[in-house]
Amino acid sequence: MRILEELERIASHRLEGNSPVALCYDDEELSWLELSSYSDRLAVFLDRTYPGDRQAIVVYGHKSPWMVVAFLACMKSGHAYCPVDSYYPTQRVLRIVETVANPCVLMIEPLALDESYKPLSLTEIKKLVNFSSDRAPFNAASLTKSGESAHCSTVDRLCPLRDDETCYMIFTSGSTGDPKGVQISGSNLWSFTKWISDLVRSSPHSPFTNDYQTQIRCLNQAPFSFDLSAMDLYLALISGGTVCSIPRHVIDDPKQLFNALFSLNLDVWVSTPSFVDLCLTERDFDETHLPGLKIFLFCGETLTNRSYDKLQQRFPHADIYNTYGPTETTVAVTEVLVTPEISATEQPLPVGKAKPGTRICIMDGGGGLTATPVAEGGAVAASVAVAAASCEGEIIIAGDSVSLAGYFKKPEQTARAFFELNLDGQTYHAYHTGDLGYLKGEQLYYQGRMDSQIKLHGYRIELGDIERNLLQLPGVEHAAVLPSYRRGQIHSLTAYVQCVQFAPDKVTPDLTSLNDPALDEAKLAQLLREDLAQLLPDYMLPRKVVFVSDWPMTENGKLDRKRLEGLV
Amino acid sequence: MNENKGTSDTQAAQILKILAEICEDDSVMTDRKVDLFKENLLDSLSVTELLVELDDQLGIYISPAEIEREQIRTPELLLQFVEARSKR
Repeated sequence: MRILEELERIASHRLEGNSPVALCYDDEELSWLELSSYSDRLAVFLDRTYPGDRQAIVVYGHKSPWMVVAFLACMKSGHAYCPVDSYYPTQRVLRIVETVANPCVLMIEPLALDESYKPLSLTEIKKLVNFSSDRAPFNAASLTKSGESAHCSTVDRLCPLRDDETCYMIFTSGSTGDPKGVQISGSNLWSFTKWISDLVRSSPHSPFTNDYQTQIRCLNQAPFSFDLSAMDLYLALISGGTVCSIPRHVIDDPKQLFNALFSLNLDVWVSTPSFVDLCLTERDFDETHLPGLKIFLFCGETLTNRSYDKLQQRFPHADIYNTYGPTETTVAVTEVLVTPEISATEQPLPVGKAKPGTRICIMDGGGGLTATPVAEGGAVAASVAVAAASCEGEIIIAGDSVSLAGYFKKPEQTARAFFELNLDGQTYHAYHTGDLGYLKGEQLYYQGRMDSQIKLHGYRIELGDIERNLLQLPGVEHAAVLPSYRRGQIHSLTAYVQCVQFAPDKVTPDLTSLNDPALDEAKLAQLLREDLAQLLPDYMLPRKVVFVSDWPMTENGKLDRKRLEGLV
Repeated sequence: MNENKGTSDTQAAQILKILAEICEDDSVMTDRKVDLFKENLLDSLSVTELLVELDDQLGIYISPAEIEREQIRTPELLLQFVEARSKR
């Protein structure tokens, strides 16, 4: 697999002498030497224990460096990895583990699984790879000589993933309430990684100097179960740099967050626009306090002019990129270097032009297509006329970033979303994004969704997913979830719920052990949210719950969402 | 002094209006003792939004690193906290 070969190549330059840090998280660090050796050893173990097996493996945990050890070990031993964040509610985690249906689970954080599974705990993993917590002074010789020679031959005999096989699988919100596993192949990941690394290298304020020895430090804000994290992870790894992960408990505590940000010596920032908005509330968040920070890469939601302008004032000498792409097409497929001129004239900001190997098309209502020209090496060939401004329509993404295998064990959904597209005599693998947008020249503009999928603080959420889970709660008869907007952006979610025999003073006994007459709507809403939190990750929880006694219907018997909104 | 009192009254009203917008609930303008976190009217994300609005609309800057939940647990406490800040 190309990406593994490239990682091996860069790692070989990082193993000698005092091996630099590859991954840092809180007060934990793993050097390149450790990452490389430990993932080799774990791969050998997986290969010996499950010879010939090529099933995906769930890697459960948060942002520990050992997550990445596990990811590489999976790929090196011929398994796709499926990252699941430990902040997810247990029920959702278990559903994913059941769907993947591999008895082998790598538990970087503890998880209670029944006897049908053969999970490996972090303690066991550390034992398997001869991890020594005694790192002062770190004994590199033990890894490279005695340790390495013992299993060198077996590492050579490993059968790593091929480029056409799935290398990672990320579960996203599904409209039926069932998360969908998006399968990304080795060639998908390589195409993405090469592009993002070339982009940063050729950026006007690139942190890379001429020699390839520069070690960039990248911010990792998103959990590994959110594919935005693949942007910082693979950008840092492919350039032999350092992934600087900020744990969730630090993100949640501004004091710790800014201490961490100001001390990490970051070169490249990768986050959702919402996260940078949070950081901009601190006035010291500027180039004086983060002098090394030269590149900002945003993905997950559209960067607003307001956020850009603020950020540009704080970091006038940094390059700020807006990018766009769904999980199904490998993290991101368009980029634009936003400038003050662009921000002054374009509202909303464009999400950019297609990466090499990818073509963006707009499908209008009649099925007509407007496509971007073929990009060659990042530049548009001079002979190809740039597409004229298109009308609004569905964004279609075609090319080498589009998931080869589609959704895990969901052939019907895969067949609906993925298709073969013929453009100028060439056949491309293509994906129906369900996103609305238009093209102006080669620049793509994002306008929203065609369905009830939304982006809240960068997280992709199917409103139907929340609704189905609400309906699972005892006593809930009808449920609808609607976004509420501020300044044209989704600000929070409101759940509208009709309960069986609901009355504020006589609550359905199913919902809770309610002998409490003082239980009013506010309390009930609180209980409902707590119940829902057992089923859904917290970013999907509605902030408000409104109880509805008369469920409003339209004339043809559909839920009248407009009238629901009017109830508040 | 009288003039100051007048300003801070209007300011209090403005702060409450911003709070109500962020909480999406007008009751916080009248019920000044409500526990904003317990009642799920505020969470860490919306506290950030609140700080942005206070800065943008009223020019009151509070660093997110120096604010504790206890200091803004109710609308009343929030008003006291902001008032103490703007006197400095």
